[in-house]
Amino acid sequence: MVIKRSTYIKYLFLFLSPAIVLIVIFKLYPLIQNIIYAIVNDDGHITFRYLNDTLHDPAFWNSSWVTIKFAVITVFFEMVIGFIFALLLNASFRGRKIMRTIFLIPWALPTAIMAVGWKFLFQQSYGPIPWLLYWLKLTKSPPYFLSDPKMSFIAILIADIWKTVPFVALLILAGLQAIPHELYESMDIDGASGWGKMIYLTIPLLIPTFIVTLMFRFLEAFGVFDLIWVLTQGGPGNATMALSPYIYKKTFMWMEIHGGAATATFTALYIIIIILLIQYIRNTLKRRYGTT
Amino acid sequence: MKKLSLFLLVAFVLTLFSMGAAFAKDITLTFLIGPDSTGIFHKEVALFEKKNPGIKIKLVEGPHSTNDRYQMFVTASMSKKSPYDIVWADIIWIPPLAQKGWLLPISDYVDVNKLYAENFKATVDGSIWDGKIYRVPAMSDAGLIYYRKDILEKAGVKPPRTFKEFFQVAQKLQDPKNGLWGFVYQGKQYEGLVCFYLEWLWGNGGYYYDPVTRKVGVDSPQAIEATQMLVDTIHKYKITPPDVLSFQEEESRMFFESGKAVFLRNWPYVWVLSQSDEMSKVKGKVGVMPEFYAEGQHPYATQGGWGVAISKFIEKDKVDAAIKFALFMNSYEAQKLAFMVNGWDVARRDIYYDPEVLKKNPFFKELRVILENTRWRPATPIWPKLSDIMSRYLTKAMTQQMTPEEANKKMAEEARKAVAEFWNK
Repeated sequence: MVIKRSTYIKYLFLFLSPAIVLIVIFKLYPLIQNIIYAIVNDDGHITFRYLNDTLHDPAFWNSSWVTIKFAVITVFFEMVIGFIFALLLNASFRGRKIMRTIFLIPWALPTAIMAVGWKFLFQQSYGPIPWLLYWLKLTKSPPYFLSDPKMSFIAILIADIWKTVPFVALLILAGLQAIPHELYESMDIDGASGWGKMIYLTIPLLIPTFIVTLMFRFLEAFGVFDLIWVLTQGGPGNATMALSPYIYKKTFMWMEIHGGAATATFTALYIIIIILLIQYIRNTLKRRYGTT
Repeated sequence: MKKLSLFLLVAFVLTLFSMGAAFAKDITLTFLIGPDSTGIFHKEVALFEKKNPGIKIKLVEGPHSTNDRYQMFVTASMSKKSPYDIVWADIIWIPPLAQKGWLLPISDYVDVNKLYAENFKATVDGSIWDGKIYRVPAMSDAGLIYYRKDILEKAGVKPPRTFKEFFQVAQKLQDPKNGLWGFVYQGKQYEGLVCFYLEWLWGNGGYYYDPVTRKVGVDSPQAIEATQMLVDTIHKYKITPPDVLSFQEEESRMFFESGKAVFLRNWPYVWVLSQSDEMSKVKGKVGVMPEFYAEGQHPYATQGGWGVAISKFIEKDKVDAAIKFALFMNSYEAQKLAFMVNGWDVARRDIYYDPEVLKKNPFFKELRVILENTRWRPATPIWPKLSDIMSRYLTKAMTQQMTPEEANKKMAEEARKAVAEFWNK
C-alpha cells in the first residue's frame, strides 16, 4: 500500500501530538516564562540587571564550580565502575538473573528516601560509616561527614555514585549484549587475547553506548537537587551548594524571583554547552571509527 | 415518552435542589498549618464552628518544617491564588510576605490597641509591617535556658548568670567521658542557630542589623567575641559535643531529656515535654532561667511565635469570616484551650495569671517575665537572606574554616551588600 505524502504528514503530527502538547506545556512554556522573569522587572521593563548581577555573584560561580566538580567526578566514577559491573553481569554464572535484579535496587529507590538512609549512615554520633572508619583505625576519631565541608562533598559523591552505578551498568550491559557473538568467535580464531578483544572489539563497539550514557548522566548530574537538599541542604557553608539547590534557595527562600530566574537561565546555557560539546565529540569519533 | 418526561422532571427538581444548596452554602476557609499531632487545631476549629454556624474551617496540614510551609505559601502567592485562605504564620514571615503584598492588611478590622493591651508587646510588634497589622498573634515564644537542678544542687552551685560563670560551671559539672556534656543548643546551619546566636550577641552588647538606620553591626568587637564564645563551647571549653552542628530543636531536646547535658538552650515547649514524655529521664529535675549575658549587660531572649494571617488573594466575601476566626484564636477561651491541650506559651498575658494554668504549670510565672523581655529578629523583608548569611558564616567559624573575626567580617560584608541591593532597587 502506498501512502500519500500529505496523509503521511497528517498522521505523523497526529501521533506526535500528545508528546508535542506535553513538551510545550511542561518544557517550553516554563522555559520561556523563566527567561521573561530573568529579563523583565516588576514594572514590566526589560532589564539586563538580573543577568548582570548573577555574573557578579560569587555564590553563583561557587555553585557552578561545585556542580561541575560534582558532575565530572561522579560521572567518571560511575562510568568506570558501571563498565566493570556490566562486564561482570554479562559473564555467565549461576544466579545471574537474580544478581541483575538485586543490583538494580539502589537505582530504583527514590532519591529522597535513599538520601535519608545515607544521612543516617554518615551521622557522626550513631552512624555506622564514621565509626567503622574509626574502628578500622583509618581515622583518629569518627569523622564528621556532614558538618565538614570537604567530607560532606565526598558524602554526596559517594551517595550519588552508589545510586547511579546500576543505571550506567544497565545501559552498558545492553550495549554489550548488542555486540554480535560471531565477532568474538572470529577474533578467537585469529588468536586474540582477552585483553585484545577488549581493546579492539568491545570498547570501540561500545562507544555509541558510552556517549549516550555520558550525555544522560551529565545532564542529570547538572540538575542534581533532591540528593543534596536532603543530605546537606547545600551546607556546611556553601560547600555542596550546586546550581539547582542554589536557584531554589534564591527563588523560594529569599524570594529573589528575578535573580533565581537569571541564575536558571545561565544553568540552561551550561547545559546547551554540554550538549554541543558531546555532539562535537560524537562527530569526531564518527569520523575516526565510522560508527555511531 | 412518559419515561422521558419523568426523567426530565426528576432532573429539573434535582437541579433546583442543588442550586438551593449552593445558595445556602457555608463559607469554607482553608487554613494552612503544620502537622496537628496533638489535635489542638482540630479542637480549636470544632469549638469555633460550634459558635459560628455557617463558617467551616478546612485544615490543611503541611509538612513539619516551617521553611517548607513558608515556601508552600510563597509558591501559591506567586500565582496570585489562595489555596490557603488563612495561614498559621511565623513572626519572621510577616515582613517579607507583607512587603510582597501577599498578606491582607487587617488594620481596618481589628483594634490594634486592644491587641496591645491583651498580648505580649513583642507578639503584636512582630505582626506589624510598615504601619499596618497583618496578623493576629496566638502564640508567643522565646529562647531560654534549661538546666539540671539536681546536678547543680548536688554540686552546691547556684545557676550561673553571666557567660563567665556559665563556662566555669558547665566545665566543672560535665563529665563527657561518661556521657554527660555541659551544654547543648541548636547548632545546625539554619534559622534556629541564628535565634540562639542573636541572644548571645545581644547579651554581649552587639547587634546584627538595625532596620531603622539600616546599619549592619556584626563586625564589632562585641559580636566577634560572641562568635568566639560560640566556637569555644566546642573547641576550647569543650562543653558541647561537636555533633551539635547537626542539632535542631528536637535533637537538642532529646539529648537533654536523655540526661546527657547539664544545660540546654531551647524554646518553652520543651518544659511540658521534658516533664511528661515517657522517654524523659529528667522529670522533676529541670530548672528554667533566662539566657546568659556579659557582665554589665542584660539577658535577651529571641522572640519567636505564631499567629493567624490572611492571604491577600482570599475571596472578598470570605474576609469577615476569616477575621472572625483570627480573633477567635486570640480569645481567652481558645488560648486557654491551647494551653490545656498543648501547653503552649500563648500570646495573651491574662492566661499567665489564671490559677488553673499556674497550677498545671508553675513555670509560667517565670516565663511571663522572660516573655516581657524578648527581642525580635530584625524586621526586614530580606531577613531570610540575612539569616542565611549569618548561619553560613557561623558554621564556618564553628567548623574552624574561619576565625571568628574573619567570619564576622565576611558576614557583615555580605549583609551590607544584601541591604544595599535591596534598597537600591
